[in-house]
Amino acid sequence: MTVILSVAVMVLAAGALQAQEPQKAVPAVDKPVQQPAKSAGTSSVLQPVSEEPPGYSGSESCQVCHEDISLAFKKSRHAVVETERRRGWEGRACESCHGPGAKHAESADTANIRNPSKLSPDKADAGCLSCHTMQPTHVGRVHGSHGKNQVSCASCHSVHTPKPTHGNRMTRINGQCGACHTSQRASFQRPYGHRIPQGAMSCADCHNPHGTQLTASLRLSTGGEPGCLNCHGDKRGPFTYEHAPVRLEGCQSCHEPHGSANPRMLTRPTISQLCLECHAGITQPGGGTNTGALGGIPPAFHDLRSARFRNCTICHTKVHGSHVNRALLK
Amino acid sequence: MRTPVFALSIAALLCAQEPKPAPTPASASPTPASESLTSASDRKISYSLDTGYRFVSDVRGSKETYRSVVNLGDGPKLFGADLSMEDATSRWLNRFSVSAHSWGDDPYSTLRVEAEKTGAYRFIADYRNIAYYNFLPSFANPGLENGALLNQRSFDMRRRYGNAELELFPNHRFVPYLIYSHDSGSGTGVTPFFTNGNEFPVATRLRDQTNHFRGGLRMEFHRFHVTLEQGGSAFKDDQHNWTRDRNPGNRTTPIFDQQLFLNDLEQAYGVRGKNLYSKAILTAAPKDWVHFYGQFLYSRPTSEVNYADNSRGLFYLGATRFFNGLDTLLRSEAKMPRSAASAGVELRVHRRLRILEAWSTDRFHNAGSALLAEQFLFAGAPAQTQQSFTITRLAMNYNRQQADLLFDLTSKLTLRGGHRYEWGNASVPPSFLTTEQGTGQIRRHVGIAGLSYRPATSLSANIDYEGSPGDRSYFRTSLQNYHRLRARLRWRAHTSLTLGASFSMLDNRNPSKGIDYELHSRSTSATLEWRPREARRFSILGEYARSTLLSDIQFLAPQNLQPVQSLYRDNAHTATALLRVAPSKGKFNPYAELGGALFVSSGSRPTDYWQPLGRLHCPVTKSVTLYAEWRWYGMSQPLFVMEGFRTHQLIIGLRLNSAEKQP
Repeated sequence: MTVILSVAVMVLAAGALQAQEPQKAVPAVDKPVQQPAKSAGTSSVLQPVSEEPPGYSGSESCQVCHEDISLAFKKSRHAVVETERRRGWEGRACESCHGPGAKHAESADTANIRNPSKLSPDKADAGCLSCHTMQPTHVGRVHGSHGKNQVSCASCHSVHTPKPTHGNRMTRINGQCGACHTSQRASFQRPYGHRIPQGAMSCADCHNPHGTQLTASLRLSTGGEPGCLNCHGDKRGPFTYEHAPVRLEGCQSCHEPHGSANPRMLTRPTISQLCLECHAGITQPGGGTNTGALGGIPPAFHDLRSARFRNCTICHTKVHGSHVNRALLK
Repeated sequence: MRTPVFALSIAALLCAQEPKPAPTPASASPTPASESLTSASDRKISYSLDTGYRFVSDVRGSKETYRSVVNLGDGPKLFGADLSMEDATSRWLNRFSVSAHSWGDDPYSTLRVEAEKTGAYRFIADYRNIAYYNFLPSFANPGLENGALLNQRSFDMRRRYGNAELELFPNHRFVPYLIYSHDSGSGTGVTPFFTNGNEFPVATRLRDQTNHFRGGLRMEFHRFHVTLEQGGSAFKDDQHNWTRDRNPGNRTTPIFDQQLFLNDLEQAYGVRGKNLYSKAILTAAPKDWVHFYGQFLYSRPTSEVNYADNSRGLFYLGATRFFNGLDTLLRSEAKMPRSAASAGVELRVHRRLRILEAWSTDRFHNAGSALLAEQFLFAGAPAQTQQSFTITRLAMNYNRQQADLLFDLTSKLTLRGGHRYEWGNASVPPSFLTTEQGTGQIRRHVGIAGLSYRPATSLSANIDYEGSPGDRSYFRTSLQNYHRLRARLRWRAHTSLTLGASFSMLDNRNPSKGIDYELHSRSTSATLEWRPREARRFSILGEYARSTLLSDIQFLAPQNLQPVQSLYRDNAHTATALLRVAPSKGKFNPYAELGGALFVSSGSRPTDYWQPLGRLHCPVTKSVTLYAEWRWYGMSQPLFVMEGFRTHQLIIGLRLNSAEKQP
């Protein structure tokens, strides 16, 4: 509770400090030039218009003052907006996001131009989504926590500058995710975990930052199976004898994928703890157990005083599922 | 250590030299400012190369743990190489890049190739080669208490993953694409062979391979988008276990004065499988205030298995009977058709109000069958043969519906509230002591609340809460009656200073009779990043996280059905830091970095893992940098002292790059 209060006080204090800086105030952040008030969604100001519309000045006039941004933009993927007629913004790529700029070009007043970085994330993203929502990566956006938590597209994506081509791409992605998800990044410092800090894989291998219908925006494999199977193909199945938790709750029911002190990244320090916490129900006539949960107790010869019976996977070698044996022994 | 010391000395001497004068700014001048945005036609090639030699000192302690955790070896290495080309006028390529990292027998080697012609195609190929080594006696070793340090479930494998994607852009509406992925693993290890009354650690050879193919067509229109995809995969998984020597197994006590043993074993699994699936995706924005999406997937994975084992020795059959050999043949197959669908809509009914509604379902059932033939061999008696045919079934239906309301209370504060309902049921194969299917249900009403506060562009804070009174869940430790809270703050206090903090908690209880489960998890972290722009002589990156976990549940000991408390505590501190210091101000002057990572935990499995590091960078010219890096790895686990290790690593490297900016 103390931590929550501390964080709340920090937030309010920081907000108050920021509010005292007059130069930080962004005029008209919610009222971009010529943007109808109702267009909180896919902004109508972003719709392509015919040639020589009133209020537009063209990208060349932007370049006069914003030279560095213009040069960087020219090398970015977004440069196609400037060059391709079919997108409807030929020669006016800057204004496709910033709105008509003629007035701003004349006055050089920041109040006369739409600056997405000063808008609320929801409204800034509306500009991006006017083009990018019609892509499969955004299928889970309605489910995704980023969208709900007002994490804007520009928090991760650089609109003006080209995509970096040097350095380990996965390290770059991980750095970006870890900048906010600090607890998750810290858990990868445990001795046994996926090789995120080493740059062998990226957070985006398992999570879709644009959102999915699964918890934590987890990815599915191409065939709708758990995303873990993209790399751990030997656990794929289907098995003749399935281990129910693998199918019903996924790999996370036993494994801590971010990092663990257990050599197999288990959610408990020892195997017997992990297994017996579920396998403790006394089977009832007609199926089910006395606790109502799945997981029947092992037969009585499993004497936990012997080390052999405290290391369950020594006998139950095919714990992820077996093609041969009902008790997952072979 | 002579060689690394010598090499370090050379690096230090080079550092001591005055760097060459910087090239004139004109040589690095970008395209003239007067050039219009549409006239970028110059070809640009850039590269970087990072290579060197890694020296690893003798590993003190457990080399096996070192390989299981770190696994970096010494020798010449290619730490990174990049080449990229941009040419707006090229007929075949506008962009091309190759990137390779950690090559030279390192455990994580990656390669990525990208090629693109704007408006024509985009090609991306990815390859990873990851070593998977795990040999730790503390895991699943019943002989550990007797001092036997043979890990009975160990692996020394390589996993290789390749992916190639080709997108074509015949026009801006239709985008056909083809994707091929390959995933394979191969290696050796140790695994137990089970027989009634004893189990024997034996050698194993593993080899699995999966090939995925998929192709589809994206149709992107102004107001809607449709993707149709058809794909499939073919996989095989072969495992061969064997032993030729007399193996007493894990059982140290005789049964009826007979000591069980394994003399000879051949055991082979041959798994073949395939999966065909169809997928359709739709997104639409018929009006500015409504966004819709939907997805449907149908897949039908199948597998077919041939299994055989031949074992010789002395094995326990039951009662007072023993046998001397077993020959097993099995043929099994499984099919698991699956249908999954999801849909969602986002309504912006008012300037300040958004409504999100999402629904998803996932349904599958697995039908398996196995035909087993076993022949028991007895000394001085005829063999006995038995056959069995088994059918199994597992089925699951899962549904989820969620509604969220997002309300912009002010331009800086957004409130969120909602409700999620999850329901489903499952039917699983019988447990050990029954012949009837087990059944489980899940039913969960979850309340959701949250807020996003952005008093300024440099400051943002999020709080998320969800809680459920719980009703039914599949397993004893599943989420039942729980509260989960996450809070996150990020404040760019100054152009050079960024602060961050996060807090998360999870309380989960299952008070049902016979379960009485409690889990409490807390995690707090803070970050600081200070990079003064004006004075590049000093910067700090720091991160600290504290996490605690307490799990308390009782289970029944199988031998006497008496309750046993299962308590798991973990109190962990994690910190990473990097301090950068440049002794003098200048463009090519050397700089040093000092920092590292540590993880210290106490509780059920206390662990200390330290990784301090120091780096010295000596830019020789604008594009050439010599560097040296020292790193120390040290790990200890008080409950498993024999698995601690410590070692030094030293890297002497050379970095070439054509980039205009120094790192």
